[in-house]
Amino acid sequence: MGLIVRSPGLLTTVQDGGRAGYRAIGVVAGGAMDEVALRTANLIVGNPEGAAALEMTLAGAELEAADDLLIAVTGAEMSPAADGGRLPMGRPVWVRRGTVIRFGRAARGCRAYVAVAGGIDVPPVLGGRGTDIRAGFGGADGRPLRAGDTLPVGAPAAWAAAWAAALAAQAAAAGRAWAAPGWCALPGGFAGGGSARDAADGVVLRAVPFADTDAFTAESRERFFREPYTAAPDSDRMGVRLAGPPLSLTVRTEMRSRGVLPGAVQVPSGGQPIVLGADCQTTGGYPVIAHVAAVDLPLLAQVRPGDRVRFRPVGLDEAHRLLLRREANMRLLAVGLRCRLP
Amino acid sequence: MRWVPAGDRAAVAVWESGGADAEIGPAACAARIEAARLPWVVDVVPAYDTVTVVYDPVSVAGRAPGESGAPAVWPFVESALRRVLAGGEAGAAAKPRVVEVPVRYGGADGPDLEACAERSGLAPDAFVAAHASARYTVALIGFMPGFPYLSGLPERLAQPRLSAPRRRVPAGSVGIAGAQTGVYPFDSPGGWQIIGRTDLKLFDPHAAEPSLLRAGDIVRFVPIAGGGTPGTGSAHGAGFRKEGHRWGSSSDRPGC
Repeated sequence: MGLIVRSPGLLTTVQDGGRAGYRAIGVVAGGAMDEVALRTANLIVGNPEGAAALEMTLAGAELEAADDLLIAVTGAEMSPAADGGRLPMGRPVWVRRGTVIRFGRAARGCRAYVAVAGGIDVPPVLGGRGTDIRAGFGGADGRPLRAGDTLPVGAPAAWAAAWAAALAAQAAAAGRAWAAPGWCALPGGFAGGGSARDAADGVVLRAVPFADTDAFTAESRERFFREPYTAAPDSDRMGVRLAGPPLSLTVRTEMRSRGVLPGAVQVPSGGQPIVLGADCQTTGGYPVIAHVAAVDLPLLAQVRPGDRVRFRPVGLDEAHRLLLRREANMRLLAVGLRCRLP
Repeated sequence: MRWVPAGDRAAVAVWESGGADAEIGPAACAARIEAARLPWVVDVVPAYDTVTVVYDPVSVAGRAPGESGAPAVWPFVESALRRVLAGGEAGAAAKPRVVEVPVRYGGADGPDLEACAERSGLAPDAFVAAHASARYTVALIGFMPGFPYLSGLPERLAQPRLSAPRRRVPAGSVGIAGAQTGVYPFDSPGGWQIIGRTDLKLFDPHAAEPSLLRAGDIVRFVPIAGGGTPGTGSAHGAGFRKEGHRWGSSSDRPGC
């Protein structure tokens, strides 16, 4: 089973649930920026939630099914199309061998995910199949996908195989190259953050203030949660760079490096914050003013250059409660999907 | 030493400056937490004066007691980590490993050696002897997989960073920045002063032990012959650089 990359789009990589246990030797956690979109796509095609899938950025790829495949598309809206029709998102889609799936530019959000029943079956490296672009391992030889790549796909779970068979029959009856059920696993459709164009406030990220630093004046701590920021074009998987009224630091020098993780809001001497992303370095020396709550990292993943971003303070206990509630919802989604039989 | 939350997924042990409470240092502390194999601990990252413990709040919540479905995650994490550190036997701290790193100093392998020596008021030979006779400790691994930040550089050898970073520093390059010295595991852009190069492979993602070094190790640099004449360095580098393990050329990092 396989998936052929005819055109990679702007930046398409193999990503999964990330690596664990290797930060002490400098290996980044990596994995999908929008964890919820990845996990949802995988659940829809019967995979383990952290299975490897494709992450596309701002402008999507052109893919060809090398075999009959069951796929799911989640995350940013990139108007997927195949066989002259619009491919629905958030549900299983069976595509016949040879079908070409074209993704356009993201109309909303930044990152879209394509999961395939069976998962993208590249060899795991250090416990993960995701691409570490900077270190050059994982995914497709440690690099972004390019035209001509053929990605191996694993064996689908029984539930997914049953859906594939039913949808294949439906497609054959309709004389189409693909078929999908009428239901959608994501009633709200796009699960990511809003954009500057459709919400005056932009994306609101809840963040836990970091108490253990004296690098910031009381005024800049207050300002950080009041002022709007704009996401800069040089944002990437390492970090979302923000432009706005500079935050003043009480110390000019960098601090001694320590472990940092995605969601940390670092403030270099220029006073413009950087929210660290999935590929952030394992250690950093810039003062940290707050950490974006884990539950809102998928919103961060969908921030586009030019989007407005605001921060709202949240307590540690509340951040944990929000995350646990989301996980309860994910479990409901998983159970609900498995109950749906073709 | 105290534990502070860093967001909702990490706890940081912070040693006060001066280290009056340095009964156990960050590397030993990290080793003890790793050894406890707590199922909710994702990663343990020791650094100069901190240990960052990344945890899974969902896994913690399944274990922590709480009222009306609201488990107290942080109190559980903090007390569990304290318990692990209090419970460790004195003998549990492993003796640090000593790793010898053979280095060709100067020439094409160490293009900044002469300028560094001059800034330090030493002849290049004396600079090399000073660098190679010191005993270094791996304070942390960071910046890129397997990159050791070594403390213990003789004060006189400290160097400013390059005013303009190089676009490509070859894998194995030994550098100095400020009071730190370190070794580049991959070809990489870099701003450290490069004084030599080793053929040792510092990181191999496919090896059972991917990183040659870990925090707490003792490192000694051993000068070896063949500092190289201009031109030989790159040819040699191509010989031991593993295909596909280059480090972030700018084309690998499109925006967003």
